[in-house]
Amino acid sequence: MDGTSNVVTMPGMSKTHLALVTALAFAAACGSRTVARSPAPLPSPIARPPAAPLLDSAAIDREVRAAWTKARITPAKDADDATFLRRATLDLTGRIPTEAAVTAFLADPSKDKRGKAVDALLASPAYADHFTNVWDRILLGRDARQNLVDRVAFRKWLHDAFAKDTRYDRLVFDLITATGRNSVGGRPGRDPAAHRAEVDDDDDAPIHGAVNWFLKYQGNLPDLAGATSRVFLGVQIQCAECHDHKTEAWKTADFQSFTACFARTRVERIEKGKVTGVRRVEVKDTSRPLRPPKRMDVPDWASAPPRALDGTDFSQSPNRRRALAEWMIAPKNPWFAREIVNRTWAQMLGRGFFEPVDDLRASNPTTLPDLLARLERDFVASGYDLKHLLRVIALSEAYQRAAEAPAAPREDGLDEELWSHFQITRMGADELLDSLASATRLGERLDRLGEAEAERGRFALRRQFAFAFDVDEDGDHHDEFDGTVSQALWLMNGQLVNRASSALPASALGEILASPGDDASKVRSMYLRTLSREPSAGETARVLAVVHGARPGDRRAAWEDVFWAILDSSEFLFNH
Amino acid sequence: MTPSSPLSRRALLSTTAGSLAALLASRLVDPRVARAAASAPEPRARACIVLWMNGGPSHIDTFDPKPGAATARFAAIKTRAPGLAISEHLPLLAEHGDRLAVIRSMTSKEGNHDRARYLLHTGYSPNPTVKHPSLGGWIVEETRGKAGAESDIPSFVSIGGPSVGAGFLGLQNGPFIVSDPNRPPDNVAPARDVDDARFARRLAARDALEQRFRDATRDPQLDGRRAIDEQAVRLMRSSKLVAFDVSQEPEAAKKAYGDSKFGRGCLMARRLVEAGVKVIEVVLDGWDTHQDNFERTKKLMAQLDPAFSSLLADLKDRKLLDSTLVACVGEFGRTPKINAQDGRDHFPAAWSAVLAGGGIRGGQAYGATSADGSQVADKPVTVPNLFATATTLLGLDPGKTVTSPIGRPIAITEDGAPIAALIT
Repeated sequence: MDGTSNVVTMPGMSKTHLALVTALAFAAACGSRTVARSPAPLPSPIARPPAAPLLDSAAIDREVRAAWTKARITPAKDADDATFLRRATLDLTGRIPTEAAVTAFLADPSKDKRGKAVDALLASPAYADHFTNVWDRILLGRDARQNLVDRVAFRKWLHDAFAKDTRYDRLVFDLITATGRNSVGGRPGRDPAAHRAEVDDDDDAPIHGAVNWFLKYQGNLPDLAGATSRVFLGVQIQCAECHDHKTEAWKTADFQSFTACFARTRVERIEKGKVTGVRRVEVKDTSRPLRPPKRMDVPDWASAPPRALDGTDFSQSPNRRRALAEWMIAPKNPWFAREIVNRTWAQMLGRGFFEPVDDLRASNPTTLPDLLARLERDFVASGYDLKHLLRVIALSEAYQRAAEAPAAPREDGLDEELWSHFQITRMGADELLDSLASATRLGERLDRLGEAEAERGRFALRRQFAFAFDVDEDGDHHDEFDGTVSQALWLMNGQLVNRASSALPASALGEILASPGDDASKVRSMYLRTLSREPSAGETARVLAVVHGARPGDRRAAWEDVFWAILDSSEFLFNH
Repeated sequence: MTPSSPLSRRALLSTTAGSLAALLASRLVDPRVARAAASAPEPRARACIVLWMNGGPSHIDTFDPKPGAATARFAAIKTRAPGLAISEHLPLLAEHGDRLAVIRSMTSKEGNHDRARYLLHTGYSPNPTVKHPSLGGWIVEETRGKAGAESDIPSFVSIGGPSVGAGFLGLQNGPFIVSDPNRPPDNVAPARDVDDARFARRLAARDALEQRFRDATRDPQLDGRRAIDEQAVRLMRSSKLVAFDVSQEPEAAKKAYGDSKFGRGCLMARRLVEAGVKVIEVVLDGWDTHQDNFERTKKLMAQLDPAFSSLLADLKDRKLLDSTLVACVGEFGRTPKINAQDGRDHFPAAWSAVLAGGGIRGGQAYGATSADGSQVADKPVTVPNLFATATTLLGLDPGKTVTSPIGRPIAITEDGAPIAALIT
């Protein structure tokens, strides 16, 4: 089985699945009764100008500090500058800082340099790269291998949105309501550049990458509805698919009504017959019921009245998805802002106000609910500005604690629950790949090959990576690179890390060794590139003992061993 | 934990095996008592090989032939077991008919590949709030610390596919993946120019250099990482690594299993069972025959037939068949109706699963579908029932519960009861 590609499907599994057949049969039955694709005037909540932000990080600090005092917690000390820069660079741009960035930051005497660094990171192009990866993982996950899904086109849409600082409510609105073509067709891995095109070359029809999320569900509308509710509203209504929810108010009928919001969107084939790679289709909304194909049981949701989670009825609405999206992003929606604030907080601090990050039911205990509510209001007031939210969190005291667990953790777990020290997390697969590329110049070497070639190279790397990193279902954060035996072997013995740590002339190590300066300065450079900090005197001595302990002919190999050892160390592999 | 249907209850009561009957009956009478007794069943099998038919094979064209039916194209052939017929394209397997228990009344509600794959691997439909462990994960977890469980090589191996992980039971119980059975597992040898001594120096340097970080953070994740790392290094240095090397097999054996990736995978599976691996999954991909069903299914059976039958013969010769449960199953069956592309679509309502070896009563068809293969006509078997049967044979109490990370008790199978008629 080909577990390595993320768009092209496994042989034999790539054909039309039953659900697709269903969707296509719907389409065939419906002819062309579609709602014309209008330029989509913005619903009122988006059109409103943002109000001035209310919060700064000090407001968070007051509440968290009060909670520490009340619980008699002594928080860990402030993370030092180098640690802060590495952490923020990873969390905001998905890779470790460059040697130059670390050196400049450490040398900067200004008091507000952390704030300036956060602003610079949020303004850098890597911000969009990183959040494209984050949301690709959340929305498409690892199982989107069907031949209807063009991941490159989807990522382009995400990337454009983050690069343009699209408001979060607008982003979600566009995703939920997306119509249009999924792809230019063919194999995205072979020619990624083509898949970032705006239009289909054949007939100039526009490509809308966002529809690939709808297509991921292959006509399985209950799963689509469940994901919509869980990811954007933190409501796990899918538990009610088969039975009424045990602890919450959700009934099976509620779930069917929510699912019915997606029941008038159809998938129309652009090309017939067998295709290689992604099948081109168009997603359209219709105003009339889709006729189910013969021999299929009509699902219960097909006749359910379309309703939001609070019972708002969309039966009269000409476009159900649009009505649903407007309801979701309305400022008075109690779930929408709460979910993204919690998710973002958890991405940054390793633990949300509630866990799992997408389960905000009332019976799920929430830490510091008042602070969460303040952040929600602030986020709405800021105009759903993700960068504002990230900045406020990044400059809070809670985010800037050292990753040092107390010697005696409390039995009630309150210290961890209240973020008394920073929770270390493994880098995700993308973060690791990008960090390795940054530490070892691999990225630059790829870039020198030109854009198309570099993209192909990255794709190949990612694919190499994927097999060892591709075991589970789609999960929300940090669980791809979770440290299986296969992954440990890949890190120790795989080509990438070994090439990256080699002292070949064009490599990072080759460059370090060729630089003027004594061996201690070479150790320093190595540490700055990989661990983003200066080595201590003891560490320098230890490394030099390894290098100088080798016979002169083996010195180069000894340097490689040290470089390898650092890349395979937990300090490199974790965000801390 | 009660049986889900009167049928399985009836099946249970018809059992004859003494201790097994007692165990099963205790689950029937009062599940709480059964759990309190908490005595795991005596294992009949100590290893399990799953031949995973990825995509969902057409039951009508493989193990539930309907000669003469309007939508059937293949003939049926007799097997060594009286009354048990299978597809004409499985002639070698027919010779082992007396070892096969063909369940023809499998039924589920999951018609989507991903969801059904999850169901068949874990016994549960996907649920966003809990990551259920796969059968392999349960077995590794439950046999840890028991005699013969400690090994340098992983206890759960998936050949040719990612399988499903151990969910909330943790990474240490997940599958070790062999991407291609024709070569050794990826990355088990040090990189070029790195000999054993140099590799050892590297590990020592790494451990020394990360000590400061470990001391400062005091995070249990780091101990977890070190444990997995040690497992990886043990595997690299293990004398049992040779079990993954199919090239050591005589040409005749390779030929008997068929010259296919799947054939090599089955051969590797046999070698792994001999080396003490507990759970092995071998993937045969391509059963999702929405188009061109008959040609493709025929080609796939040409791979399945020699591999499956040679595996049974080899295990028998090595006296391992009685202690190795072999299951051949995919995520669902396929529609009796043939579509416009001469294909068959997904069909979870009625399909087949095949069991052999380790405590299975061979030579029988269990349950039946209607004349056209469109519905279960006799003794429906749910996936949890199949799971309960397998776990019981492997010595696990199917009703045993473990508390999931969010505090919910999760049983190895929910609503599943072993099917006594399948067990010797």
